[in-house]
Amino acid sequence: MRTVFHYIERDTFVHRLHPMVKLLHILLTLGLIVVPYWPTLRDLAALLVWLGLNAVLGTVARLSLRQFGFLAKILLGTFLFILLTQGFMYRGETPLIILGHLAIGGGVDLVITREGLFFGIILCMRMLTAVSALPLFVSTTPVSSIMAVLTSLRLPPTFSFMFVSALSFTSMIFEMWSTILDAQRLRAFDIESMNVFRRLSRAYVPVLTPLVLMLFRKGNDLQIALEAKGFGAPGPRTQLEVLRFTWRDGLAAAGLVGVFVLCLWIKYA
Amino acid sequence: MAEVKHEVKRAVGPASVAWITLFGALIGVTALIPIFPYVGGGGYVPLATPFGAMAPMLLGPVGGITSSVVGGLIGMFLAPGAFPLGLVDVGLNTVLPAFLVSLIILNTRYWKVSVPVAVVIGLFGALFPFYIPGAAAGFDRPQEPLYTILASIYWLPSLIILATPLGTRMIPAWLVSGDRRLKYTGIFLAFLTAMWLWWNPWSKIYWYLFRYAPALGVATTIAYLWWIPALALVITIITMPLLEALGRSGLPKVGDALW
Repeated sequence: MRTVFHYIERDTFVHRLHPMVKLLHILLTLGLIVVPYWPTLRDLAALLVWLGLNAVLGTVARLSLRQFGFLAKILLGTFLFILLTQGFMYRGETPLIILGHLAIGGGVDLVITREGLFFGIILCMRMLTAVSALPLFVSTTPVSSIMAVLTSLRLPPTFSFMFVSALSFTSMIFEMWSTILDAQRLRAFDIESMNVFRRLSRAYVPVLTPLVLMLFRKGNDLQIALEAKGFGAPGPRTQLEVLRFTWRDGLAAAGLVGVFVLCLWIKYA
Repeated sequence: MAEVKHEVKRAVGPASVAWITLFGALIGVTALIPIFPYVGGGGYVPLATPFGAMAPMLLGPVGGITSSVVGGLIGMFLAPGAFPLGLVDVGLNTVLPAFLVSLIILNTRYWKVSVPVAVVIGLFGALFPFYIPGAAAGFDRPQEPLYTILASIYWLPSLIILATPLGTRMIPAWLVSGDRRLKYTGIFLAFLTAMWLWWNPWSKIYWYLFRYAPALGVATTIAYLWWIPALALVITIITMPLLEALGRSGLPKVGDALW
């Protein structure tokens, strides 16, 4: 078990952008995918423009294609499901593939329509657009900057701390998970050789129970460390990293809003 | 000179910030582990969903919901494949299960909240998306009364449980009972009640986005009939040894938690 999306230290334009601009990018992406879509070239073009923007930003940030390949592999089954169900069930008129005829009731033709398949492609693009935006934030923004931007958004400091700390504790959990797996393997308990049903019924409990106990014990140590460092103490807070919003960030934000408006214009004009 | 006292905030609800943070991180990491494929193929339900559901039992309702929010947000970044709708899926995959399980734990005091919540979710499940927005958004009507009867399986039993003494007195009492059989029965029923309700918003938002045809909606509703009890059983199987282990661990107990 390993994470494919984590901060990758590089000195690129995207890495240097203010995290607020990257958050804006995520919000605009969500805004673009929640509006209703129809099987038209305009709708597809609007999504492709935003997807293209994500690809450009990923290239500028020098993110590895392998990471996105991993994501595409996970989503491949979903895409196939969407394409098939929409192909068969969308109210299309132009038959593309006729698979046969079922003698149920008055008889049903098994037909994949062009409109259905096209609509399925649009839905897949919509999902891919959303999913491709998130790694751009997490792979190009260090944890300290995320903390700084959450603070500047005036989120409760306790919540900001929990979010950022939890993000950085994930690697520790991977290590603990791996240690417990090795320990269980030494006892001839090999999860990776089990099928999905055996895993559900037998595998997770012997791994997750010690993991949660170890975490809670670590939690006690962390709580003492927090209190020793004055966490939650009243009074003004200082920040380790002070982020400055430069004219480049303003320009990038304006560019993102511009592309967003362009997508909406393509879709609705 | 008068002594000045400052209150130091070190907990969210009865649970400590450190425990919530670490359990949130665990929920986030478990978003990478698939436990059930979606009926019909495609994506997967991550282990984060059971962990979100069990969080209120381990950390108390407030701590559990908070850790599910933290964990969902982390999971969204670590495993975007399990959260294709981003923030919406954070709410659906981790926060909603924690919220609904919390309502059942607290149902002796908060049935005035949980019963209306179940009614709203039930109406949403029965009407969305084939009747509201319905034809206005291009949805045809499903075959009736088949669809309404099938849809009611996912909310009516939960509503009955929450509104009757079984939910307002017995299950909350069983959850903290010293009798293990009663306790585990209560835990299973709590998860079952919560996950039935959870299925309605969790699935139907996707039906809307993926433009499910009425026939596909009916087929999916039938296909998931076995799935929710199975999911509740899996969560119970994972939760029981955790509660036992925590109870014997000597760790400081969290108020409103079930160990």
